[in-house]
Amino acid sequence: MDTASFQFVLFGLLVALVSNLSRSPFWRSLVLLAATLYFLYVLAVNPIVLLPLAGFLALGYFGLFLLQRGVRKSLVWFILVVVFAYIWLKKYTILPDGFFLHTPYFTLGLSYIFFRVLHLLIESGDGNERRPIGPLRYLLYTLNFTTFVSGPIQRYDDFAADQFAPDPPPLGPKVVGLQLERIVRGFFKVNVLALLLNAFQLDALVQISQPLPITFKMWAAFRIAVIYPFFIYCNFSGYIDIVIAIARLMRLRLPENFNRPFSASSFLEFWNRWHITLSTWLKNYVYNPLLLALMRRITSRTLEPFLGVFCFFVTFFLVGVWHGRTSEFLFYGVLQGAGMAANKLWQLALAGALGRKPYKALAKNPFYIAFGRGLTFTWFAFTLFWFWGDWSKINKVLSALQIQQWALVSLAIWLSSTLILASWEWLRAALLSIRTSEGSVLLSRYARVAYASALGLAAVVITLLLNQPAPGIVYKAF
Amino acid sequence: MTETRLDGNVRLQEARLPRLDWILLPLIGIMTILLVSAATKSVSSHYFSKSSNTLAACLIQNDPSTGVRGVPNSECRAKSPEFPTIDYKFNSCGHRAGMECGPKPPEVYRIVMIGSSYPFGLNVQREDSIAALLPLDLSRRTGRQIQIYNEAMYTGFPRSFDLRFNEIQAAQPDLILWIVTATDIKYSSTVLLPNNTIPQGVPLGFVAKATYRLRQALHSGSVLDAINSVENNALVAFRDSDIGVMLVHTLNLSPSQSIASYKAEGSDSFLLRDQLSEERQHDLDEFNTDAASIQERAKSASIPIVAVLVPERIRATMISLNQWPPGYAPYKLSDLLRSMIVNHGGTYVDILPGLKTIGNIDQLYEPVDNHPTPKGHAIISALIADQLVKGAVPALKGAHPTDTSLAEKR
Repeated sequence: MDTASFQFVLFGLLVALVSNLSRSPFWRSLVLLAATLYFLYVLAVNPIVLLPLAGFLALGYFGLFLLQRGVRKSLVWFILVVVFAYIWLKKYTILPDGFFLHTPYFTLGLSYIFFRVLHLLIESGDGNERRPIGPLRYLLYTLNFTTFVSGPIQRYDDFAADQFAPDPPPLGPKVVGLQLERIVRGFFKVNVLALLLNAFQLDALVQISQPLPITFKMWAAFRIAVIYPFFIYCNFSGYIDIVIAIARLMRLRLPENFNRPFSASSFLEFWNRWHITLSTWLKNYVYNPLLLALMRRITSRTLEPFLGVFCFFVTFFLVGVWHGRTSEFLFYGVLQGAGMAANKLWQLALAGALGRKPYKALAKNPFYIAFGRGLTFTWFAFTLFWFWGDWSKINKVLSALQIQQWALVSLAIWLSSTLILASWEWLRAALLSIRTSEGSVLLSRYARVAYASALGLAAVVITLLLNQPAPGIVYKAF
Repeated sequence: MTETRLDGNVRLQEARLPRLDWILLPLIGIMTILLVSAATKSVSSHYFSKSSNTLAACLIQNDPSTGVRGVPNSECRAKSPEFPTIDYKFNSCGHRAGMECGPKPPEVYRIVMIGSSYPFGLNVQREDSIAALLPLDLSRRTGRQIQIYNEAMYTGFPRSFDLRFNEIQAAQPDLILWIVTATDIKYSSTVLLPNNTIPQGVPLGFVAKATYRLRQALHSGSVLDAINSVENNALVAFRDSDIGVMLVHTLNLSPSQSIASYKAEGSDSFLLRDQLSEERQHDLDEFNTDAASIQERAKSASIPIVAVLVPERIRATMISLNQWPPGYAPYKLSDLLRSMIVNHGGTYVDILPGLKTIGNIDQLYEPVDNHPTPKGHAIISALIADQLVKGAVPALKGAHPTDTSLAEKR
């Protein structure tokens, strides 16, 4: 149930069906609560293991309760306590080992609950008048089974506007059709594409250490770097497709988490397209406040642009740190932060050297965009080494080739991704330009039915033939 | 895709679907499925077809006193889905030996090879098989004239060699080379495979076949069992079809995926688990009994016997990748086999460690059929030759083995 399995999809569709028996917010909330509790029960098996999670939720609600009653001066303390509780429950190695609970307990979904709880605390503590959030609404928002395992991270106001509205979002045949198509697409991504990509990457990981000629090893290195971004994209965005569609069938609109990330022409743009709800959350609650605070203290006009660079580094360093408690993720965070900061610096330097207008013209040049896209992909692919590997594995992979051979592999990845992604963008634009009066043919319901049928057939046949579970949703571990 | 807040009229519009679409959209869905299926069928029929002629025409498969044997002086052509068309030619003794049967020529060191489909050379031309490659390699390395007389037989499991030991003896071997696979252990005591085919008289259409299977299943169990049995049969039938073979072949080209797929299967048909199930342990005990009997007879006839475990694709993959899931032990069967063979007075040679140096394991076997390709036969042959000339058989002790012969063949 914690993956994009047949069971999960059927469960989601059943819940959506029951939820639509009445439009009343009470009924829909009741169904969502019952479904969420059942979902938790199935995942946890033994309710005792849920106690720490329940404690965390209670702590969050206690803070929220006090803030809603005007104890706003303590906002920072509440936030610190919640952050500390999160670090403690997730067993971050910055705390001594003896400090942790050593009985097994349930942490699935905790990271996403953490973001929702912090969001509620911060928004409640900002001084603006809001309708108080009762315990039931709090639980529905934080535990909602569609977003429990790996997001997306939704704002409370958006959640409440759909979930508790007397007139929830409409659900006609067109919307239902679109969601069913999206479920099929998501299922195919997770259960077929991700499964195969995972196997191909494992093959390459093994081959790089085998007694093979150097060209084979370099080809293996190429595949190790290139396949994983596509795997993680299919694995994560496929699951997100399914939960967004199930939620929409329950008349709840979840935010998008991906927007064709590999078409980003810069690293800055990439993070506007990849795990959007996470980066938006961090921009709202880390980047913006930090930048404002620094600008208040540092008033130098020369330094002002560089404050953004620093804030980008800090924000995206935290993106990495959030992913895990090990030093690999710390380094992953450094690489993400460095990528963002370097990209911003490059923009500043180029704009400074060329002038604003020529820089803008250059930024629109198709070749500049294509090479930028390739470079963005290459950088992201290499940073992911610290996402999927531990130090010993990374060391084994990196030491399989000499530094100049790795440089060649990187260059090959840059050039080939530039070419392939640019061709893909061109092909996509060409196909989308085939239009009727109702819009693009490719996006019409007729085309969608056709490719959903083909993907559905392929997914069912391959799933039945292989009869093996797809790799788990990677982001559920965070 | 992003929806904005909609007013009443727009909402009504959004909810409506033109009447024609209620017919058109399902029709498009069905047509797409049919089209995709037809296209897949067409591709799979082209690349993964099997011939209507089978090897069965050259085999006598209903004699429990000998097990499966070849029809003397017969010739067959057959094609399995993943392989090209292969010629099978049997001599007057019913062996795919590449030579006539009879007493061995003087000055020749003759090895009689026994085993099932791997040494038989199923799905490869005789000249690409172990039986043809190994004597060349051994002769080159030892400087002696070495001949392999191949008595291996498709589905010729150990008990049938016990039954046909006089045939082995008649070939006057200096050595018996017994190629063992995990399948031989699983079916050790099986002399003839049970016939699960549909009897003559039942029409061959899909519905007729399904009805026949359903009736059979209903006869022996409950309705649920019957449905289950038909479902399983349908899946097996689909897997055996051109499309099924093409899809599984393509999906399992990845060695890691093959391992994951085998793990998901759960049955451990290749005895790869570190803890063998009761069923597999029973298979092993049966094999031990047959091995004791065959070796006893070889000892009485003063013929030395050398056994070797030739790995199937999954075992070879695990060893080559040096990676296997917890609970699996790809070397264990070899160790068990060694102790059995040595206990009964034979010699065992282990070629599994040699696989660690093979980088392109995915090219050595076909993923669905599981039999070695010509390249696989060449590697297996070289690995066996390496072991034999190392001193396992004093008469074959030759030049010190090097990896060059192996590398040449890769």
